Amino acid sequence: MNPFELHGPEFLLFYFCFSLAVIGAIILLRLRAESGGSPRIDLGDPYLIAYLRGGEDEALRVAVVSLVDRGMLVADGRLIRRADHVTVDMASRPIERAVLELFITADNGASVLKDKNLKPVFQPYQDTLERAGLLPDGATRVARLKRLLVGVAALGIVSMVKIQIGLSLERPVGFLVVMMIVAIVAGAALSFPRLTTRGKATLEDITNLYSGLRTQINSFSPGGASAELAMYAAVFGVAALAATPFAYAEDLFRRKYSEIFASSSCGTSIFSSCGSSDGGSSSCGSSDGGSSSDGGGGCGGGGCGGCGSS
Amino acid sequence: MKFRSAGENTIRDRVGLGWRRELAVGILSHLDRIDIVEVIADDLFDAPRRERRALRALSAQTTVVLHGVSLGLASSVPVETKLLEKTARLCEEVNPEYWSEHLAFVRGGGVEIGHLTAPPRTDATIEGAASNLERARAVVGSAPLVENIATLIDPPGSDYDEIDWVKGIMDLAPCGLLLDLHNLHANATNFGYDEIEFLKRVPAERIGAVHLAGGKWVEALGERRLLDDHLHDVPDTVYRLLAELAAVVPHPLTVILERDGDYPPIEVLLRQLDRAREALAEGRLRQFERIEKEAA
Repeated sequence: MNPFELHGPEFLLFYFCFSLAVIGAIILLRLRAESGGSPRIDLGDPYLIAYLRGGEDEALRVAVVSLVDRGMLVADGRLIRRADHVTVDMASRPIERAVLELFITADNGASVLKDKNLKPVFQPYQDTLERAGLLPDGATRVARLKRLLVGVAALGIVSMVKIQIGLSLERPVGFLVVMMIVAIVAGAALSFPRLTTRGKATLEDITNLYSGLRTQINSFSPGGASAELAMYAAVFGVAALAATPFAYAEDLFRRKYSEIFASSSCGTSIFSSCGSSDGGSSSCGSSDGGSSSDGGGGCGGGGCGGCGSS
Repeated sequence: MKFRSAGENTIRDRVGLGWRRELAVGILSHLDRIDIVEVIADDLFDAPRRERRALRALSAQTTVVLHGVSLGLASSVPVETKLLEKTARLCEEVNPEYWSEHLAFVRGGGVEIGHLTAPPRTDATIEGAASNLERARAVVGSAPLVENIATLIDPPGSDYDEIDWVKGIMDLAPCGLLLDLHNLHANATNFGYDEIEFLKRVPAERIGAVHLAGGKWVEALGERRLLDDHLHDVPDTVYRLLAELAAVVPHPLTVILERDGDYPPIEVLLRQLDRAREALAEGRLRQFERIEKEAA
């Protein structure tokens, strides 16, 4: 049977199945090429694990939470500053020193996530994880691109041939063009995951090794188990601290509506207090003394109207 | 831990910790001070595949050994084939350096005791244990190190004392010994024998590993007994026994600290590992001094 002799709807069904097969092959080949045994990495480094799981932002969140818990940073509502007695060299890890540098003056926790100057701090993590085959290195990225290009060529050639046939017979080809574009976009999206297969498996292994922390976390008190807290945040995410004695941690990175919606939103009646009380930078912190319980919480959860009214 | 004497002999003893989920952060953050990790095999027999796979991630970081608690080797009743097959599967997946089990019985007449129990020390249990060890070796592919257990009751109906009974099993079965020094200390204390004399009669060349643990005093059958509960720090006596052992065992020793609850900060456990290293170093020094003296 020659598929190019199929009529419109039948060919579209064939092309749909063909696309699935091509995308499936791309994924399968990637899974096979990027799998492997467990590598030897420092599983006691929460920042390495956080970086593996969620990249730079996650590593920074864990660093901030850990430093706050150890009393090296002071959280005042959503504003964070370095504790008076703390110097940068009191922290042992470069990422912690970099974060301490940033908070010489009080700032919002989310600000650290936007700082481009921190890039060099992450290079060792990136290199380590690439060497271990957990993040794609240059060769892996090229291999992924090659597989995608072969797949795109297959999808493109088949559809182009049929489009040419359709055009010569003055038949509509719009659906096929759309289907080809969707298949190529889907193939591209599935070709470049952040982690390799080995990286994904290792992250699952790490989550399992530290699964005991899920039950332990509620027995810890702030400042009493900083290593465990940092590891919990690294493995399960800062967001997972929400229902624990460390619930305050999530608030540290919740940006104000004034920042999220920028100037246009803060100019509206709903967000007017954000821009009016202190020029739009830190209305909650300044108007209510920075307490997250009475002002900060209202701003993050209930809208800036509550903040302005306090 | 490496000990060198006049460039002549090198004995690299290792000191490690029992893996417990509660200690995961402490262990994985201090692998520079923990040479080896012992995992309870039974916890993983029916665990989801992802949990057993995670163990491979652990074994990529450090040396892993498996420790069983449910086979019930020291019994005239054959070990359940199903349990041996689970052990074999786990060993195949994890590829431990060795695996170990207790010289205890844990079931009888279809009833699970739920406790490591000392059997009567008789010819029947010696032969039963040897037979079970042979079956274990055949199914798993290697024989386990066998561990002496602690007991609050001197097994009634026994014809042998503990050391002769253990030696009787080891004479028949080609296995090594996992010598639990706190179990030895507890039994010696409870039943009034000399633990150093016991050590002297242990076949030193068959000792593959050592367990350290702590316990507490309890009242049992109207008497004061030392209970091996793994919930307390290692007592000084056990370190002294370790030094005695290191003074006579000619090959490298693997020493595992067992802690099953009331977990102290990891630093406390690491200090106990350091004390074990000191005891080993002391014993090794005595051994080499003796060897040099004999050579002279």
